[in-house]
Amino acid sequence: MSQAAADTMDNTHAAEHGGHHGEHHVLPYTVYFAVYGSLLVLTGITVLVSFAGLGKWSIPVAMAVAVVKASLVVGYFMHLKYDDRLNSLILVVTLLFILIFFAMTFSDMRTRGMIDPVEDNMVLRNEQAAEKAAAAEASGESSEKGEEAHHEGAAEH
Amino acid sequence: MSTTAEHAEHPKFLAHHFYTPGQQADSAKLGMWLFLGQELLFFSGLFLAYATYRFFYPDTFLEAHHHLSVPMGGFNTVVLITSSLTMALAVRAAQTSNQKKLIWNLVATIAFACVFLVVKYFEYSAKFHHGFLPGKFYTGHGIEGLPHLFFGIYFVMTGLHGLHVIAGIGVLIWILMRSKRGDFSAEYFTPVENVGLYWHLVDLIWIFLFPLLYLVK
Repeated sequence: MSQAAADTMDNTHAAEHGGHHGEHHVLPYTVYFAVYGSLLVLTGITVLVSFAGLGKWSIPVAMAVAVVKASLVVGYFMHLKYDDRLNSLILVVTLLFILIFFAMTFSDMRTRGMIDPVEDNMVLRNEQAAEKAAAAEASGESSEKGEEAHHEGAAEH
Repeated sequence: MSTTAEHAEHPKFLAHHFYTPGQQADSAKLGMWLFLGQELLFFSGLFLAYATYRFFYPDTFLEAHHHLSVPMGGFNTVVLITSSLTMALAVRAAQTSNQKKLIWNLVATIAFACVFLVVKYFEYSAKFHHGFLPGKFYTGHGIEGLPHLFFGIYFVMTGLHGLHVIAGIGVLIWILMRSKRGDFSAEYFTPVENVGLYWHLVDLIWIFLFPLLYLVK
């Protein structure tokens, strides 16, 4: 593996110097088989973990393992680690847009329940109003005053 | 004119609008990565559809996913990972001008791809048999909730992935024929490399599909 590490460093150097155009970085067989072995082990881990009953953690763990596997494939099988940095940039920008895509949709899904379909209003706001009313009642204010306030409010509308 | 001299130096595989083979190879690879980026964006929409419906109907998804065969899915995962290895070794063989190894690794990759599709065929047959189909075609029994949604997503995601596998077999056969013709060597193997990149992407998508569809509890 030290041979592989040395090769890796050589190739990284070549990429940094930008003089790699037209050159090929022939990786030693050990790298390919080490990556293959790791992918098989990680697949085994994914299957075993799914039976561990992790509950809500099962998706994050499964996805974390999948990301490690994907990184191995992209980095070594697809040679991105030794490639022109421009290709890495394309991948990173793609992932960034996927992140935005997911983040926007998830923010919608997570907050959708807060919308009151009848009032077209935030349930959260209604709850706050109810809490205020309850607090006002608890503080011993007369119900008449409360009613007056209510009427005034209605008049304003 | 000097242009005639330059033209004489041009290797057969070098298109006239490129200066050097290196520039041509880099451009082709850049274009391939842009295509792969587009593929990822397009599949991300399906993954998001999965996430959305799973978020709204977690119980249905939990129950329905028990009807997928983990051994078959796991076996196919190993098959695809192995095919990725043989593909990477095929590119390495091309890099080192080893035509015999190139051809055998391409044949192995195509063979694994076919094994994947055969296993998929048996899986799909079982789903069809039980009526576990998308949308209005769903006639299955025994799953609470809205299982037709789960199977809609299952069939669209694995189906599109399967189409990518079929397309992959097509381009692999094209590369295999050109390899037999002796088109590729350490000097020129861009098509082998780009088909390899595409094939690894097909593997990448499956790496995420397998745990999400078959395993997640």
